[in-house]
Amino acid sequence: MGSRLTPTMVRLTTILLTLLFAPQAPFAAADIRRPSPSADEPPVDTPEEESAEKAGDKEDSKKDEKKKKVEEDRYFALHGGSVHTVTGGVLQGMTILAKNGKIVEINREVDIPEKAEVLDARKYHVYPGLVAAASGSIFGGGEPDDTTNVYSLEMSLGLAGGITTALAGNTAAKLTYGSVDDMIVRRNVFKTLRYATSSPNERRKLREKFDKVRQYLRDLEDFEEKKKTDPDAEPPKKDWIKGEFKTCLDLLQHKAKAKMDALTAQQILGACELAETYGIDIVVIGAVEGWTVPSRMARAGLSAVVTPRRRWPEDDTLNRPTGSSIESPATLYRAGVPIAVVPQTSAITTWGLAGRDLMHLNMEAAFAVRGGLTDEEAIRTITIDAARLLGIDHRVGSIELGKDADFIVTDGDLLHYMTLVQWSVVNGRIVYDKQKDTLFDHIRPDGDLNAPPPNDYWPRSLGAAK
Amino acid sequence: MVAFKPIHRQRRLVRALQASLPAVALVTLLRTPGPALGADDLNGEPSYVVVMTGTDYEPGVVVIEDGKITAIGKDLEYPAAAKVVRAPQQTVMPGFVLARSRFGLRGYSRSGVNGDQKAADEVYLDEIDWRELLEAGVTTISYVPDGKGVTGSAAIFRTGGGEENRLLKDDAFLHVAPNWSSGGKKTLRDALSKAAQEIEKVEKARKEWEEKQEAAKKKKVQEANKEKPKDEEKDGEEKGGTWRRSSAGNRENGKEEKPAEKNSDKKKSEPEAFKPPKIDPKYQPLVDLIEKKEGASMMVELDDASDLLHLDDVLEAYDELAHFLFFKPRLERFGSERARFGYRFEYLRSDFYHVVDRLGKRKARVVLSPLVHNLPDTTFRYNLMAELVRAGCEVSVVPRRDSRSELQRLRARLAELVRAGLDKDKALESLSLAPARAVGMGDRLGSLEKEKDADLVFFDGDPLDPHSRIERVMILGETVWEAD
Repeated sequence: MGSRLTPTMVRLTTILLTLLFAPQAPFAAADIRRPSPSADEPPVDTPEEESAEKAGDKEDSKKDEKKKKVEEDRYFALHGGSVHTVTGGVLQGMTILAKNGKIVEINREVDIPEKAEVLDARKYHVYPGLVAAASGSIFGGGEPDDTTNVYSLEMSLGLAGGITTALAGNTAAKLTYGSVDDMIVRRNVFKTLRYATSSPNERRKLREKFDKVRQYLRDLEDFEEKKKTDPDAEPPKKDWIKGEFKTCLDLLQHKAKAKMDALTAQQILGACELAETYGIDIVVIGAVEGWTVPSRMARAGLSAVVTPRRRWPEDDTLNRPTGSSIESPATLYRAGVPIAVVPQTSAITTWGLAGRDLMHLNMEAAFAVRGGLTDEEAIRTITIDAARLLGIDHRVGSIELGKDADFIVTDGDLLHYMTLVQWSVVNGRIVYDKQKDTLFDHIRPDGDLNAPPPNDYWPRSLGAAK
Repeated sequence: MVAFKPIHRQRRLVRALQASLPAVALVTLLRTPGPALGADDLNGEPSYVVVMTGTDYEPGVVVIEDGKITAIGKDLEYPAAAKVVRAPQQTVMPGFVLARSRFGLRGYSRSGVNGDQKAADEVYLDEIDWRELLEAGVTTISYVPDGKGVTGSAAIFRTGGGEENRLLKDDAFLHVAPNWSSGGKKTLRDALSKAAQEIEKVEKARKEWEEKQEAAKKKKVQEANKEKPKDEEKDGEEKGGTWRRSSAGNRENGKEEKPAEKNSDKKKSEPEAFKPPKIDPKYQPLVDLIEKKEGASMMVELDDASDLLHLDDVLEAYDELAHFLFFKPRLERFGSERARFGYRFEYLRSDFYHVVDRLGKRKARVVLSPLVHNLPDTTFRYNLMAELVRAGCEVSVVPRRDSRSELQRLRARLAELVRAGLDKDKALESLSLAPARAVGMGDRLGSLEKEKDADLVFFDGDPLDPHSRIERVMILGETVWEAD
């Protein structure tokens, strides 16, 4: 009796753990860095506040509420071996309990409701679901919740690669295999800008647009002041703020981040200049020569989506460091530039070089380790840091109380090339099971090629095995 | 040879069809058993009558009067003047119904919401080779408008008989074929919400009108109180109370009927009839669907299993809209396009096995092509139709393509599915009764029952035996096609 934890103790431990998992906990390296813009501007972050901007979102959330009321509570419990929380170290032998797709308890002893779906992963490693800042071919062409084939092979492969959340266009969406519910994490994550890679003339035109909108915002401030003394003051006209002007306005008001391609040092410096002039948040995609200007990028508050294995030759004609470097991610990270790692082919494909498509997100992060990141930091670049870059770190990216129940269960260290994902869990539902899917079932950890197939060997659900 | 005689000339024709086989009963449909037929009439060798709803007869007799089946069973009495069609050693079953087709129609692309379009407008009777349908045993065909999105209303045609009887039902159901992979879901969702708005618009106008009427009534009462009662009496005498009734009727119906106006002086005091604001004709079928108008239904085309989830996501906001599903056959190719020999395989892909249970749970009506499907990206074969039937769905079949060859292969393909585990009765049902029910004609077509249309197909053997061929096709009791 003495060794068992009483309910009160369990509750106390839960509270302690809650404190431990408070967002800004350990890992000094991440906290020294400039806080990401999403943390600064609460209006962008939470769906409740964001909904004011978009009526469609509001309807969505209303519908969700309605749905949840009808359905009874859904529990999911995971008996973990090593639970890599990412933000709170590695916990051994923990059980994670999720209610309706949200983590409600992480503890050694958890009262599991009878109806809960239980996954015993005591021999395995548990990581938060990976977050990919790219998602070619997983989702459909338009809005992910409208056009995605949720039974597609690509989605299964993505889950087999450990990805549970990905960026589709400018929407952060989940790989909810077999369901179209609760797919969207956040819409309008980015506003796509063409600046760094465009011609000087085009760049000037865009800057002029920014100037015009900035002037409007200043006029608006003046008007607010004037109104106090002069009731007849007229507000500045705003009917012209459409299209690209609207984009500029959203960026200047920090309602979204700008996403732009910038590969060479020159292009990156162009992006830096824009960010510094107008105080907007820019995420550069590529940043191949970022390692040559890391401190400048950090000062301008740029974030970057990088590919460690990208190869560019040096350019001898230029009197400056050029070309790619495997150390680029580590250099940027140390300089305080928030980074997310994606593979070179940002889609689930078989046409490129094997091992370089989106399925191998963890391997790409492992190459960042080769460039100088620690294992923990490398894992951050494909989980919590990537989530923060997308402004969705309040929901995904780490295993914490109150966050979404998105996990992957692996048979080894995530950064090891032999490691395979055994189960993927999204919103507290098992959406990928290696033993039950045909994809990697033939790969047996013990190397026994003649091992008998599992009892419910495919095509079990099809009635053919009768 | 083929009798395309207009039926109206033989209105009074009474026919008896003699056929037969194993029988338990179908007692409810029978007339009181009369005296046995003359020995002469029963000399025919045993034949078989497939009834669909109940137990089959061998030998069987179908009595047809004015194109309707009036009796069916063994040993029936019929008028001596009846024309007797004998079908020894033959099997008779209800004519085939195609729940969805564009046979013989030209294709055109149209997208968005076009609820005002009608398939009936596309059908020119003399442009379609009806014999190709008849020789495959098809007696009823349901044409849908082409295109993507909400494409319009389907029309049901008979494949033979007099031209004035060809169009069986116009506006049979709404055809919806969203382009699921690129924004089709949004189109459908927006179309439905627009239709709901139209309904709200009408309701709002009606409410306003009612309020106005109330106000006018009050005013009138007040005025009447002020004025002398003398005038009122006069009023009542003149009109004789007729206009009061008609106006009350208008209020009830809410229609634009003009009240009987005899006296122009009284026009002002009469209540104005409610004029409902016009509903956009493009959305009218959707409005009917939401308002649960009798017979309103829609056919939704699905490309993948995932589309069903998206469809349910859209329909969730509405109270059980009547609908049935069409699984679009999707051809997939392995190997090189150019390969003349060696590896080039065509197969039908389908991942609907994911949603079989979901469909079974709600007893969905499904229209599909009777083919053994391959699981996506594999060579694993899967009898989708058998699984759907097992799960409790009502499945109808249509040919894979609208071509003569596919029409003729329909039975053989179905037979293959039966060999692979599909229930035989359900297979036969999927040709006649299930599609008839799906398109809303279950009370008239699809089975051999009293009061149903006498659309019959005669086989010289088992309908699913690839060797058996169609001997005769009857529509409304008229032979419209006969084998050479």
